[in-house]
Amino acid sequence: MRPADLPSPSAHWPERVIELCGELRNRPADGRRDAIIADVWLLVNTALCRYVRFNSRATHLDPEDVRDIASEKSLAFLKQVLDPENVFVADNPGRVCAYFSTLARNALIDRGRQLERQRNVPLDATLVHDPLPADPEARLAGAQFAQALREAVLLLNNRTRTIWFFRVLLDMSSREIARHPDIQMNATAVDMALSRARRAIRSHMKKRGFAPQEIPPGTLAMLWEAMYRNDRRGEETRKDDG
Amino acid sequence: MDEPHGILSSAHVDEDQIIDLVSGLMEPPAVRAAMGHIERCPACESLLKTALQERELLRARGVPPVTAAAPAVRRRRRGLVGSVAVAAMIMLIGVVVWQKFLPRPAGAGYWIPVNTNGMMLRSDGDESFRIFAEKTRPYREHDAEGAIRSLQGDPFAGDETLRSLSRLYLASALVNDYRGGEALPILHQLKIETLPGEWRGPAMWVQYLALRQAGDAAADAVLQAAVAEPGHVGVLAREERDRLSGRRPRG
Repeated sequence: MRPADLPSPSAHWPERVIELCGELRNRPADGRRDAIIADVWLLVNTALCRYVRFNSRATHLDPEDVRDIASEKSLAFLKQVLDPENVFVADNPGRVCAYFSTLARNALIDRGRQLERQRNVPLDATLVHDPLPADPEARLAGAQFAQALREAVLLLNNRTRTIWFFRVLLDMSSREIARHPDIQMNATAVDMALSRARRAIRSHMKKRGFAPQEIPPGTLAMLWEAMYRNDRRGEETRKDDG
Repeated sequence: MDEPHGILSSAHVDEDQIIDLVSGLMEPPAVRAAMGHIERCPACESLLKTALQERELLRARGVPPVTAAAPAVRRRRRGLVGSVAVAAMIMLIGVVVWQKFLPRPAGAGYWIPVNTNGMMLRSDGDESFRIFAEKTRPYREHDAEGAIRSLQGDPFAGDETLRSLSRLYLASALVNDYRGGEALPILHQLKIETLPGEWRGPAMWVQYLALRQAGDAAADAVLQAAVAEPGHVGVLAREERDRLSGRRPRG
């Protein structure tokens, strides 16, 4: 069994952190440097969220607290990387992971959280494997509903689709959506776009014979993949055009 | 071709793989294998949802201003240097304690991150982007006087977004030059609520600093609003609120 502090053997993110940090240290202050800082920030934060969640799994930390701790420590990490006198040696993925895990643990201790520090707990033990509905008919109906929903969502324009996805599947507030770099609208405009999207989706689903219901399991993954592939196709088309 | 992460459609996807997935670090065959499993596994889908929520919220909140930490204090200095350092430390503590009871001039040292890379996507053309990058260079280098010289005179009158941003950076540079009073009319014309999302928080903070420098009582209301801001501006505002109320910052 793999200890929790070690990355998945084939995980790419720790190597990417090392690569970006190396680039950042040698980069003069220019636009590219700001972009690298943004990339490091996003990646380190996402990774730290994983370790904060892992180290606080016994205490059911509020997701907002997880994000706060990860942001605070990501900022400290970035400052360290940018400090020319600092000797942070992140030369292998295992060390990066162990460092992040320690950062997360110490942050939790700093906050005085009651945490159960179990070492070397295999990652797989943290997963709760809820089975899909056992009833084949229910599964089929769910899959058909999800498929129709996918069609409806893909009919929306990119921005409206993203707004709908952020709100309905990621539970983001209008204010957060409005500030997102892919959206850049005010909160009222977000609400209006959302309302239009819901009407369009309802209408499509009605035509396909589906009444409103809970979104079945698997829908988030299916829609994200559809959007992700859409983005990839868009990028490839742009590259071809270029 | 990259190994598909060793993921068979029946194998669960762990959080490291989820990070790779949402960060775009997985190769397409591995993505297909992972998604094939996630779509049929509520537990793994829940991990994906959490990671996506975290990532998109971070993107919505933007990168806080990052400056390198102050150079570490060198150790093992002896003799006269050590004595001078101890004396300087005692004086510094005295000054800090003394300043705690004095109103402090607010405002210097806050620089809004200039993400020229992200801006390229919104700019009308490469030329205006190039000029923008050039004009904001002193600001990026934290040279307040240079930034004021470079950004004065409305150099982006034809591009509303770049114009607004250059005005915001000008206002921030003025605040960093302790000329908050001059920054206020610029911020007033800017209409902060109409700025792109990622700049509204920083603009609010610059406005607060400018008002504080100008001795304007409206600063308190702006600070109250900034306290509720997410991300780095919220942190700054809460620290400032605590400082003004004489409490130690939390955290």
